[in-house]
Amino acid sequence: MSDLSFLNEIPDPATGAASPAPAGAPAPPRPPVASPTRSVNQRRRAAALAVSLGWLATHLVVYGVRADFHQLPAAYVAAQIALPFAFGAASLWVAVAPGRLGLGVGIGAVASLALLGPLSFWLFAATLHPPLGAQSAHGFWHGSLVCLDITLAWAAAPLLLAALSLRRAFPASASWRSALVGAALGLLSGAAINLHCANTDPAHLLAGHGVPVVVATLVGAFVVARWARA
Amino acid sequence: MTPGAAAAGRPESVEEGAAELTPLDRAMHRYADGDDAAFGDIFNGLAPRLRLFLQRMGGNADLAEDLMQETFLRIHHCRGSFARGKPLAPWAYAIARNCFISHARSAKTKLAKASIDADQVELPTGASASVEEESIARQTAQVVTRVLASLTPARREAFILLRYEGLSVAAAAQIVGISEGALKIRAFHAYEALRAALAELDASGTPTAAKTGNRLPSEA
Repeated sequence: MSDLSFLNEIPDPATGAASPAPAGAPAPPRPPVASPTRSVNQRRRAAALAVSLGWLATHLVVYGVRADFHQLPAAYVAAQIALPFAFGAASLWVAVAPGRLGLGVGIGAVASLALLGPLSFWLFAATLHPPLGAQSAHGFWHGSLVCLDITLAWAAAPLLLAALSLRRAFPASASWRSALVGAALGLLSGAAINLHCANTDPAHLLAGHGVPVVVATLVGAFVVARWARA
Repeated sequence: MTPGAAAAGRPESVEEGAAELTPLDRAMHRYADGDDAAFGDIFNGLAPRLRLFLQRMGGNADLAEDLMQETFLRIHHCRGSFARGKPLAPWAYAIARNCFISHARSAKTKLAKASIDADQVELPTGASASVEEESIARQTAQVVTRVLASLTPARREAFILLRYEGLSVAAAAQIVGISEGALKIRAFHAYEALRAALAELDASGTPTAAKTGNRLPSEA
C-alpha cells in the first residue's frame, strides 16, 4: 500500500471552494496581544535548562555526594548514575527536537524513549546486586519516604520550569512528548539521588528513587502536556 | 507528488519538508522572528486551506470559520515555537487539528453526522459542465459528503489529510500522532467505504463523477 494514488478515485466534493483571498478583500485580522517570538522562546528555554541543572547541582552540593562513591564498582556507577544522566539528557533533546517536518521526532521513537527510560531505571535498580550492602539506618519505609520526597522535590522545579518554557511548543503528539520531558527530568533527578543516597537496597531504590521517575513521567504526560500543546 | 498535492497544484516541498521553502514558509519564519507585518501574507496564503480542512473535518462552514480564527490566534501565540527551516503546512495543520479536537471535546458536539446536510453542499461547477454532468457531480458529491460524515473521526481525518489536503504520509502521520502504517490503514478503510458507496450509486443507474473521469466538473 505504498502507492496511495488509488485515493484519487474518490472525487472531492469541495474542490474549488478554497480560493486565495481576492484582491481588495479586507485585511486579515491583527492579533490582539503580543506573543513571544522565537528568540524570546529560545532564551526562556535556555534559562529554564540552566536553572534546572543549577537546582539539581546546588542540592547535590548542599546535601553532598554519597560517602562510598569512590568505592563503588564502575559498572554500578555506570548503570545507576551515568546511564540515567545520559538517558535523561538524550530524552530531553529528543523531546524538543524539531524533527524533519518541524513537528518533532517520530512518535515511535518518542514513545519508546518515554517508556524505556523509567523502565531501565527500575530494571537496574531491581537487578543490580548491592555492592556494599549498605542499608538505611531508619528502616525501609522511613528511608524510602525520605528519598521519595527529596527526589520528587528535585524533579518538581524542573518540571514547572519545563511547563512554563515549553508552553504551546508541541503541535503534535503533545502528551507523548511531554511524557518524555517528564521522564527525562525524572531520570536526571533519579540519577542525582543515586549520586547522593548510599542505600543500595533494591527495594529502596525502586520505591524511593524509581517511583519519582514514574511520577515525573506521568506529570509530564498529564499536566505539562496541557501547557505544552499548541 | 502526493495525490492531493497534485490535485491541488501545490508544490511538494511544502508537504515533504524539503530544504526548499515556499514564500509562505518564509513569511512564517519572518513572523516567528518578530516581523508582525508577515501575518497578512500567512493569513492570505493559509486561511482558505485551513478553512476548507476544518469544514471537511466538522462538516459545517460556520464552525470552520470560527475554528479557523481560533487556529490563527493559536498560530500567533505559538509562533515562537515554529522551528527554523521547517515547512509551515504540517505545523499549521497540526494546530488546526488541535483546535478542532478541543472544540469537539469541550462542546461535546455531535460532529459531522448532525451538522452536515448533504443537500446543502455547494458544489462549484466548471464553466463547461452540462446540466447532466452537473447533476451527476452533485449526486456524487452528496454521497461522498454523506459517507465522510458517517466515518469515524480517525478514518475521516486520515483520508482528508492524504487525499484532499495533499499532505505526505509522513506529514499526516506526524500531525495525527500515529505511525505511517496505521495512518495508511485508516485512510484505506475510509477509501473502501467511499468506494462501496460510489459503486452502489453507480449500480443504481447513476454514473458517478469518478466513473466519468475520476473528477468532478470543478476538478477538471
